[in-house]
Amino acid sequence: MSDVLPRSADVVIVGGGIVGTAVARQLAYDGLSTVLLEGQAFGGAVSGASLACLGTHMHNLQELDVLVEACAHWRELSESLGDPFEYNHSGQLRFIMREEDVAVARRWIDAERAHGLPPELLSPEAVREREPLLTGPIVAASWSPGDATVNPFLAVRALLADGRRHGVSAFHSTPVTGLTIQGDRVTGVQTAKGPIAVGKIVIAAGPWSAGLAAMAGVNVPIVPRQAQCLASVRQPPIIRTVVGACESAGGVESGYTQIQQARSGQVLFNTVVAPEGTTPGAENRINEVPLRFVRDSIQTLTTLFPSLADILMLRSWVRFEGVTPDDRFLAGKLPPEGLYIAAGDNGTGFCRAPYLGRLISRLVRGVAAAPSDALYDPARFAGVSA
Amino acid sequence: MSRFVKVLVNGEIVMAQAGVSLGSVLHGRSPALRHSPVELQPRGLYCGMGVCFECLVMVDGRPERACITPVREGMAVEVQP
Repeated sequence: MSDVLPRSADVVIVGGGIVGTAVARQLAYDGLSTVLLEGQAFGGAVSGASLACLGTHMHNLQELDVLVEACAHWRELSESLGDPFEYNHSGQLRFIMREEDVAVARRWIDAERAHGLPPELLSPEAVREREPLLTGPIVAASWSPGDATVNPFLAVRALLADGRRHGVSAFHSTPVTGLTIQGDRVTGVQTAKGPIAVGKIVIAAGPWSAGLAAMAGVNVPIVPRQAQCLASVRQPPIIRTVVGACESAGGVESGYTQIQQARSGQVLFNTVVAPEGTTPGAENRINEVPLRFVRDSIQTLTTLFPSLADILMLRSWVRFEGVTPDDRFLAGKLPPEGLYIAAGDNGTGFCRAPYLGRLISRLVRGVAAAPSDALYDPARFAGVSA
Repeated sequence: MSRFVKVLVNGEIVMAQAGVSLGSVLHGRSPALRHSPVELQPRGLYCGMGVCFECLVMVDGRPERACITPVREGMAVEVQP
């Protein structure tokens, strides 16, 4: 594969995580000459450190149609590409520890059932039929049978490989150092390996997106937020589903949990009771996980799964999510003409990547928007209008 | 003091130079310490400095990173298949 950048292209995508690779692949499928530039390694930052849950349960209700479409797209991708990313149609359990939180779960379940989805409330006995080792003191759990996980590294690589087969020119270790603007439109990108003349640029750089948009004089409200995860040494198959915490009557302060087992056998888990404060530029440093997080995560895991008390830890990692003020992606046009963005995962963005690929392709090609596209329009924030 | 120590690796006696890391001894036997569970691809030392945990092995019943563990006379090492 040539390491020489093309001199020109129809579109350049900046950022080779799951969103950037999905956008690039879609644009190539739709016939545009497409260049994908990744500053470091494909999937090496936010995406690779994701727990990559694909689901519809207990997300923003406004986005349910998008999530249903995105989940179906992931299933089709797994089938059409030959299971290259460990797609695991496991279903998701959200455990409930306090009686007063059952009502919260019921509200979500009713709202999702009204959309034709099949979540239900399970008794502890019914939970153990699906997750036999979940013997901890839960009062109930919600169950969303359609939810799934993928291996995030392999998903990025599979979309990248498939995009390349359809014409994407993709380059790692190629940070973008500037955006060229003439008059009111973009005309190129500058990189350490030389410039590319291009009329359309898509910023898909997660928590680095605000810095890239600033190169075009645009302020976008995306800030980094630290998240972290722990992994055990590999175990025989012991956890079948994705196990999360039900949204609590106490709100966000009462914490977030996700527990699942990778195909390799590692148990992946995290519990965040108190989010880490994040300072500007934090996404450029590699931090150790906070001790409090380690303690909370192990306590939650072993409370729910007492028989896992003696498993060995293997490793931990930190990543930085890109957070927007209203928990939804920014995906759409930015000023100046020809500049687009698809960023702001808010920690649960993996699922939406194929949808965002289609959204950006619709805009770039000037074809009719889908009804849900407006949800992600950056112009919903003052000062960010195209 | 002997220049060599005797180490048991999965029950097999291996003579190792005193003072070297267990990681270097395992690497000397085979660069593939183990095979990955899904793809069955060979896996060896990666960072070699205690960060990545790729070389985690059981030493006398305890988990240790081979790359930062010095060999000791009689240590019993179990490497995952």
